[in-house]
Amino acid sequence: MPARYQNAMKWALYALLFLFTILLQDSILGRVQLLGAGFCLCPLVTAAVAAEEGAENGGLFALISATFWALSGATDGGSFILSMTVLAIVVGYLFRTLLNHRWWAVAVTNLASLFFCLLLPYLVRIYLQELTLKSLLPMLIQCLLALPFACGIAWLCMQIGKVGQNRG
Amino acid sequence: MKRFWNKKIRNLLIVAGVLAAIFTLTAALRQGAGTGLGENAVNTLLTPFRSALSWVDRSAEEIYDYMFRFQKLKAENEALKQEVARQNAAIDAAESYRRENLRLRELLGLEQEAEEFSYESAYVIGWDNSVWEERITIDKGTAHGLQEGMCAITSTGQVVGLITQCGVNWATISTIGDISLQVSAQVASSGYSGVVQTVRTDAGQEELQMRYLPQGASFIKGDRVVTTGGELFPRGLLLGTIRSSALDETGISKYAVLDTELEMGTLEQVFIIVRDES
Repeated sequence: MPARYQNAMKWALYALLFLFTILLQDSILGRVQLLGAGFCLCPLVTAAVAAEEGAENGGLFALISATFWALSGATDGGSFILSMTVLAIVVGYLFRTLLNHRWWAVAVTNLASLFFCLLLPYLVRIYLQELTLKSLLPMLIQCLLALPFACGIAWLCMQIGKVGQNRG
Repeated sequence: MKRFWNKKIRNLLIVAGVLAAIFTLTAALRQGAGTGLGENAVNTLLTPFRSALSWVDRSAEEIYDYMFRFQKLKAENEALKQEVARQNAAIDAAESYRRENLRLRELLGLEQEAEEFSYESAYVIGWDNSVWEERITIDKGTAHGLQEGMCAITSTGQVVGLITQCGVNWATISTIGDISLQVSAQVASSGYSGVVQTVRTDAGQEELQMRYLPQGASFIKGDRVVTTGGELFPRGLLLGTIRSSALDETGISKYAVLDTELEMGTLEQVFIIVRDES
């Protein structure tokens, strides 16, 4: 198959994975809450794609995906657009220069990205005195709940990345 | 080491910053209600997929219930049949009081005040998993006669919330568990009036409270709290039952903590009141 079509299929698969993640967290996992925390999985996908595709392509994918997610009604959508794009760029850069491309390393960086994406709205609300530091507990629980998904998404993105050979 | 900063990265960050600012400003100005063109388009596209996935989820739960919770469901069914029989007897009594009320109104020449409602049922296809807001998405919208500001209830008359965004084939409901929603209410037995809203306590928990009650108000545990009626919520819809009460932070008025039978995790279907005053 020509490289161009392989590349297009690869990005289509990434997009499908992101779409499926939105549907999974909204329509099935959305009704599940533990100590006030639910599932937030979208930042994991954009970070995993950036780890696979690099800072520039990963950052662009994160920008488009986060905008789509914000338009679908995500709370704090504006904050996620900025944080997901920035973190995708950082993760993409780290995996091109410093980190080994192992699935567990990708999973850990994905979780770290999720943590920082969720932290921003919390900090704003703590600054506006709408919350106290105790309220960070649901956020930590959200990160813990995302752990198995971080591993699965990291592995899936590595498999999708093998479609085509674009590691530029 | 590969260069981090280049023109493409800079442009990405600028666009991300601008989009983030636009979204944040738009959300702040709309205050959670109202539907933009982009939101309508994206959610209209996503709704069939959400509906399909929700259907699969519901079907799987039905099969699981049939296989593993059959005896429990059977016992629950028997208890509900007895409850229905009791309610039917109460309805018969209420019907006879209604007829007597009509006759007396005619005798005194009073004008009849009645509101006739029709309902549109909808399945819940999405739950907002954010810590800040409690919203659900349903699979019906303007194409089915729904619009922003309509009230949603369960099959037992428990208030679910208010439609805050409405698209072609979807709508978002802010539930009574959402901190932003306030409902004018009264205690059904005693008539004390107040406002029901979800409040975040100092311990970080969220609880449904009825606030601005008179200092001297007294309650019985289990007293029903219902809507007082108005432009958004019809009169007499159940909001919750009183669990406890205490003086609020000002010491001048009281608040009551409410229990509600609304369980967001198991809510599958809601009924939107399409009001038709007559």
